[in-house]
Amino acid sequence: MLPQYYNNDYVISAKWIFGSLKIGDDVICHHESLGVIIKRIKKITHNKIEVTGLNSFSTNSRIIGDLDKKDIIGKVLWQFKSQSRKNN
Amino acid sequence: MLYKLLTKLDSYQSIQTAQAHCDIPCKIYDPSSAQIAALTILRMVDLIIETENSHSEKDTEYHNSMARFIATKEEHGIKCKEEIRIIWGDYFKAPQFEKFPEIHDLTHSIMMSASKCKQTVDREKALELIEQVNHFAEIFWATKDVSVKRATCPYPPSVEVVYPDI
Repeated sequence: MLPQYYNNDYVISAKWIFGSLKIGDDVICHHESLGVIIKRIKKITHNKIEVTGLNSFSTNSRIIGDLDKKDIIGKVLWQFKSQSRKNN
Repeated sequence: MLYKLLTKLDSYQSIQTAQAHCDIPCKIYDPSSAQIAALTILRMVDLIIETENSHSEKDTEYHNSMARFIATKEEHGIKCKEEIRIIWGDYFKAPQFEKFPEIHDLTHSIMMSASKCKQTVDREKALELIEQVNHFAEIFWATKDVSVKRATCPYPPSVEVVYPDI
């Protein structure tokens, strides 16, 4: 998720009311094979959410596949940048 | 300030980690790093035994050499495990698992053997690890339809190693 998120950044996320999710939101989600991941919402259809990374090296969204809304753990509300990153 | 507070909180009560999955899908996988790490472990075992036998007086030089050999053995034990885990976890997928279901047990055995090599100075254990990693390499290359050959590595510890025959 570079350049938005770096290793060791902290984020605060929270459950939301479904209607408030929108394209461009960053979400923490549970993926069947990738575990808990942070991604940005690319597309929302009826009950499915397509997420994507932010750089060309990110895992392709086709590989991640569509997520169910129930897989979304929370929407990122706040980000705390790591100290090492600030020193760079 | 807030970041420092969160770091402290994290150390007391682990905060859940979310992966960003920005691994570069470079598709470069090769068991040779694990094989060299396993060979290094055997070489260090040989050097430890050799140094122990050749130093009647346990002087500073002896302790310095021993510390270096042990540290290197430890480092390569970790490296061997990591390299095998990466290939098993990132490269192997369902089709390879179906074709070579023994890879799970073999990977676990390598983890156990490498740990044993870290804990002990046992030549037989180190040879066992090399053979397991060789077998892992054979399976890896078989998944790519690359034939292999066995040859004695042209440097110490001069033991049999699996090489891709390309």
